[in-house]
Amino acid sequence: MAQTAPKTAPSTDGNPLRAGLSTNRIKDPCNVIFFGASGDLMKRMLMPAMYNLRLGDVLPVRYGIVGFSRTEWDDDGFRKEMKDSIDQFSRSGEAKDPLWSDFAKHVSYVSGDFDDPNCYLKLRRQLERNDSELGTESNRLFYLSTPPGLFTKIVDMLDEAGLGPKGNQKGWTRIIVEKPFGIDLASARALQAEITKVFEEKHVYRIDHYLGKEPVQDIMALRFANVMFEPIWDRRYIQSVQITAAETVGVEHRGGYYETSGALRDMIQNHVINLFALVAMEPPVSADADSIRDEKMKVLRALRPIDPDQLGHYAARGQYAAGTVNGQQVPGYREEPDVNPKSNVETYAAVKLYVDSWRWAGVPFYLRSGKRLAGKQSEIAIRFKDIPHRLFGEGSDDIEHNALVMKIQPEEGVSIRFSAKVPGPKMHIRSVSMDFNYGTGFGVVSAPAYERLIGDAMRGDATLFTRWDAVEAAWEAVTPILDRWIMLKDTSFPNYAAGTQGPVASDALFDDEDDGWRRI
Amino acid sequence: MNLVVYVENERYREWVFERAWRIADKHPSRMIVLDAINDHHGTQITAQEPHRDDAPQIFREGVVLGVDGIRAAQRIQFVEALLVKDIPCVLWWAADRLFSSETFAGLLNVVEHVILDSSGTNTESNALREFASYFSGTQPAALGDLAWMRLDPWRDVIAQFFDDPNMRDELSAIRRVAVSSGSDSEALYLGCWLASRLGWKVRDQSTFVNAGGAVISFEHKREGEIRRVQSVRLETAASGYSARVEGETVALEVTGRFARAKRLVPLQAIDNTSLVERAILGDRTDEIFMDALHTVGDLLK
Repeated sequence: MAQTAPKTAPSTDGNPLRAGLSTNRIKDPCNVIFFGASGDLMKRMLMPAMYNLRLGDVLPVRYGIVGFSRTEWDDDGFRKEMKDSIDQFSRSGEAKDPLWSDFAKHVSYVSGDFDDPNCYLKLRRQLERNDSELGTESNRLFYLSTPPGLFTKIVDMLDEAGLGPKGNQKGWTRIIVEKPFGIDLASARALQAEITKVFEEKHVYRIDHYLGKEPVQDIMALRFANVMFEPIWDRRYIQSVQITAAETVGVEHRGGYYETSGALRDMIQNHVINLFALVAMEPPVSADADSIRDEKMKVLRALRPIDPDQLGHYAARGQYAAGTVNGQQVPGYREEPDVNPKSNVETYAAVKLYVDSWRWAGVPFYLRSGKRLAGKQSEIAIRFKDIPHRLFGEGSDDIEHNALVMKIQPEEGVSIRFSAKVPGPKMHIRSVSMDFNYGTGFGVVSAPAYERLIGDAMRGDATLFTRWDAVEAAWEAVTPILDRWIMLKDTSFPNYAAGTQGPVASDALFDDEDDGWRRI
Repeated sequence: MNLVVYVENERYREWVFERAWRIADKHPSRMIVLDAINDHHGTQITAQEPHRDDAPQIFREGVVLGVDGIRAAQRIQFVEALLVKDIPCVLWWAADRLFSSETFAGLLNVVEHVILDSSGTNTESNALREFASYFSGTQPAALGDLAWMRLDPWRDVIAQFFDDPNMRDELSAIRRVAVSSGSDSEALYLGCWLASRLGWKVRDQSTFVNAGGAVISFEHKREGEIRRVQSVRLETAASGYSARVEGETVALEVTGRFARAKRLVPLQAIDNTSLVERAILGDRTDEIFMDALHTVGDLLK
C-alpha cells in the first residue's frame, strides 16, 4: 500500500494557493548595497549570486542593488562591468535579455572615497530614490566586501550619513561583514566595539562562506535527523576527529594579503573551527539561529587552552616550496608575487584541540589547512575506536577502524567505512565503503554558498552566520599559537614541496602511532 | 532501485529510452524495459561500470524485453523474475492506454511507485478520466503524473498574484479562468487545482461554482507546443491577472483596480528527465495533486 503524505497544513501565509508549493522567495522588499563593488569578490561571486537569485525568482518583487567603490563608473558603466562578470563567472552562463535588462534596471552605482561624507550622502539619495521608484521600503542590507581595514570607517560614515539603524526608522538595516573579522584577538575586539556602536549584534551578519555549503549544513542533519549516529557520537566510540581543508592552489594574486594573514588566520580560525563546532556541539533545543549558535559557543568555550610551552604537541606549520601540482611546475611561496622572499608566513597549519567536556574528554580533534597540497579536499573524518575483541583471529588482521567521512568539497557526500566478510570459505574480514553522493542522491546541484547566505541575510536568518562570541572564542583558541609563531621564526621554511601531503612536522601531532593524517 | 519501463509506441521509444538511461546513469539501478512495439521481440542485456576512475561508484544494468505478442500475465512474470528484491521498484508507464491494458493493471501489484505522463498522448482526456477514476479509491501504488509536476512553476506564478494579504479577497471574486496550453492535461490540472484549493465545485465541463454560489467560467484552448502552458488568465470584477510566456520568461501583469507594472519572471521549465527523477525520489503521493486529480475526474465525468 502506498504511503500518503501528511495532510498539508493551510499555507502559513494564508494564501491557499501556496499549499504544497515550496517557494524560497524573499518577502521583504530591500536594497542590497555592496561596498567594494569593483573588487574581485564582487565580480566572481557576489554579483553572479545576485543574478542567480533573480533567475531562481528568489529575490523579492521589489529590490535594488547598489554598488559603492572608488572606481569612477556611472550606472551604465557599472552595469556593463557586472554583466561581463556574470557572463564570465555565473553558474547559469551568459546573462540574456529580457531578464538581464529587467535586472539591470534595479542596479545602480555610487562612486566615491570611503572616507568622503559627501559620497555617503550620494548613497543616501540613491537609496531614497530606490525606495520611491523601486518600492524598496527603506530596508537596507549593507555588504562590506572591502579590505578589512576599511570596515570601521564605512560603519562610522554610514552612521554619520543617517544610514545606520538609528537613522532609518522606516525599515530594517543589516550589515554583512566579510572575513577576516580582525587579524588577531585585539583587533577583532576593537572592530566589534566599533561596529556595535552603530549596529546591534542581531543586525550583524559575519559571513563565513563555508557555512553556506550544502554539505556543511548537512552535518547537523546527519547528526540530529538520524537515530544511528548520535548515540555513538562521543568519547566511548570515537577515537579521533580530523578536519581537513586542503587546496591545490597557491596564494595566486593575493600574496600581499596573505603576507598579513597565513593559514592559521585565513582558514583555521574561521572556516575550520566553524566545522569543528558543528561536529562537536551538543544537540540544540531547536533549529533557530540562536539555539544553534549557543551550542556552538558552548563547545568553543570548552576548548582546552593550548600551553604555549607545549606548542609542538598541539600545532604545526609549513610553507610550500616549488613543486608539481596536477602535472604543472609551480613556484614556492617565497617566489610568489608580492611575497617577501624571506617570508615566515605559514601556508599550512595543523592544530590539535581537546574539548574538556563529558562527551569529548580525551578525544583529539585534528584540524589542518594548507595551500599547494596534493589535492583539493575538504572533509570531516570521524575515526571510531577499535573493536574490543578480535573474534575472527587471523581473519581479522585486515580490520580497519570504522570511519565516517563527511565530504564537503569538491565531492559532496558521506562515506562510511565498515568491515565485511570477503566471499569465500574462510572467515576473512576486510574494510568496505558505503557512499552517498549529493548529486546523485538528490539529483540537484547545490547552489553556491554566497547565494544561500545573501538570501538568508535578506530574510533576516542568521543561522549560518557567525555570532561575535564565537568569533572571539575562535580567536582566543588560536592566539597562543599565533603569538608563538610570530615570535619564533621557523627556520625550516619552506618545509614541504608543492603538490605533497604537507610538512612532515605535522605528523608529530598524533599521540597514537596507529593514527595519522588521512591521505589528501 | 528497479526501474520498470513500459513503451508501446514507436514515436516515444527513443525519447523514453534516452531519458530512462540518463536516470539509470545517475542512480544505481536495474532497468527492465518492456518494449511492446509491434514486431519487437527478443532480449537485450547491458551492464555498465563507471567510465571514470574518479566517478562515484554507480552501476547500472538493463534488460530490454521485446514483448510484442506476449500475454500480460507472462510479461508480469518476466518482470517479477528480474526484479532485485528488497529495493524500491518504480514503473514508468510510457503508453497511451492505462487500465485497458492488462499489463498496467498487473504491474500495479508489483511496483510501489507509478510514473506516467497524461499529457501529449492521443487520448489525454480519456487517460485522465480513467486515471482519476482508478486512483479515487484505494491506491495500490504511489502515483506521479509528469503533466502535473510540470505545473509547479505555473502554480507558483499564479500564487504570487495573491501573496499580498490585501489581495486575498480577490480569490473569492474570481469569475473566469482561461488557460492556453499545447495539450489538455496541463490546462485541466491548472483549472482543477484552482478549483480544489478555492473550494469550487464542478458545475459542468466549463464552469465551477464557488461556496457563495457564484459561477466561474473555465476555458481552455490548445496553443503552442505540447506539454507547455502558454498563458493563464484569471478575472474578477475588479481586475485581470495574466501570466503569459514571452520567450524564456513569463510576463506577469495585473490590470484594473489592482493594476501592477508588468513583471518578468524566469520560465522555470523542468526537463522530463528531472521530472522523472523527482517523481522517483519523492516517495509519497502529493495530496494537493490528488485533490486536483479528483476534481479533474468530476469535470470529465
